[in-house]
Amino acid sequence: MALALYALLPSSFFPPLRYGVVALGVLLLIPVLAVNPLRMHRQTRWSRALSVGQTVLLLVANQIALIQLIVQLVSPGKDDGPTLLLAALQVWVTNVIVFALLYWEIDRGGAVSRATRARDDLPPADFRFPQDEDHDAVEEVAIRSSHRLNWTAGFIDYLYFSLSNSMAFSPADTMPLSHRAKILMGLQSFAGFVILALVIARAVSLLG
Amino acid sequence: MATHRTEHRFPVLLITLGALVIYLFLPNEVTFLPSWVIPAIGAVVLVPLVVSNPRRLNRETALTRWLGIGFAVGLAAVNQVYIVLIIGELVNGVATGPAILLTAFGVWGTNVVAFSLVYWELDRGGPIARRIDGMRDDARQDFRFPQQDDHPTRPWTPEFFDYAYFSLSNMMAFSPTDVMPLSRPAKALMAYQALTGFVLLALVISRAVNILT
Repeated sequence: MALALYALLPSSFFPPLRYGVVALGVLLLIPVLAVNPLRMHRQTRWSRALSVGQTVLLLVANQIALIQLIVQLVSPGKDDGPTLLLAALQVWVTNVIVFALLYWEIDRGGAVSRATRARDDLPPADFRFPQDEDHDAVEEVAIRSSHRLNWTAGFIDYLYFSLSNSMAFSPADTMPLSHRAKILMGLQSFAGFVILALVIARAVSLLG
Repeated sequence: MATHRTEHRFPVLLITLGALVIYLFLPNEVTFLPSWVIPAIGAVVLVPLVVSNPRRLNRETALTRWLGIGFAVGLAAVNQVYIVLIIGELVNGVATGPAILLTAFGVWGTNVVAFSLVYWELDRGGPIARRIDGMRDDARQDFRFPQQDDHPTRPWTPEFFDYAYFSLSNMMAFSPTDVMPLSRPAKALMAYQALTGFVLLALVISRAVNILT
């Protein structure tokens, strides 16, 4: 089990606000890709530090963009509606992707650790996926459980729950177990909540 | 004998003080008392609680138990008054837009804190009894956390932060998500909190048409 390389690519979708961050992100991406060009199975301490660092950098940059967006949404009438709406959408989508990357990096020691280490050797999980508790369900469900298939989550699984966390403001299929997971999910859903409230508030008068 | 390491006072104290500070900054349109009264009363009630357990939460007398519950319930009750006032202000108020938006935001935040304190104080006999064997072991379990149906190899007990997180998500998503309410009081509290969050969001958005332009 391993992850395809394109999982990392969406991180370069970043609002044009910060070309510097994009350049730095691409620069950091090169060694990360060089270590594992296709499948995620090799890891050194510095390659892990680099990829976690890159994700955290993007995360921090996007929170700055988010604050800027909130200020613009609240301060009356300087910017035109469509631009602001587009910026809100960009920040929101970037938040979904960046948080998905971070969940993917931290859960059970990261993608390489999840794919290569034996189950009882993994660090304690930060998230519980539905498959992780399916082994005592009815047979046709149980055959897809983590126990039977030796299943671990891939990037799409993290991306999906990151998306639903940003839209529904709460965990849905995947439960946060550790405090750091709860801090991150709380931060992400709160950002989604504030963006939605302010965009609607602003949009009624912009579009109506 | 304690089976688990008892909880630390610091996270609870920090978040509670944060909520009290928010009260200090609420604008005058929605306050029914001088703005320092509630934080002052809160701080006075906090003193014996902090003195009895300055670092780890491991000693409990009947007095500190009731003070703790009283503080949490009192904070929640006071906040309901503020919420009624802000709703009145949102529906037919005269306050200026940014002030009302900030107030709604502040009251929303203190509601998250107040309810998380109430959940934390009530579930399975409170923060101290939850972590000490032989102390109110028959207390009712109000909430089921994901870890509790994971067949843990080591015993797991929620901390304040776990209650704060689900209080936040209950206020944003208007429904239980990671943590399930088991008892009727827990359902009543969570339903009431979610309804408050729902009404505040709906009214802020509808009022915002006039606020933000």
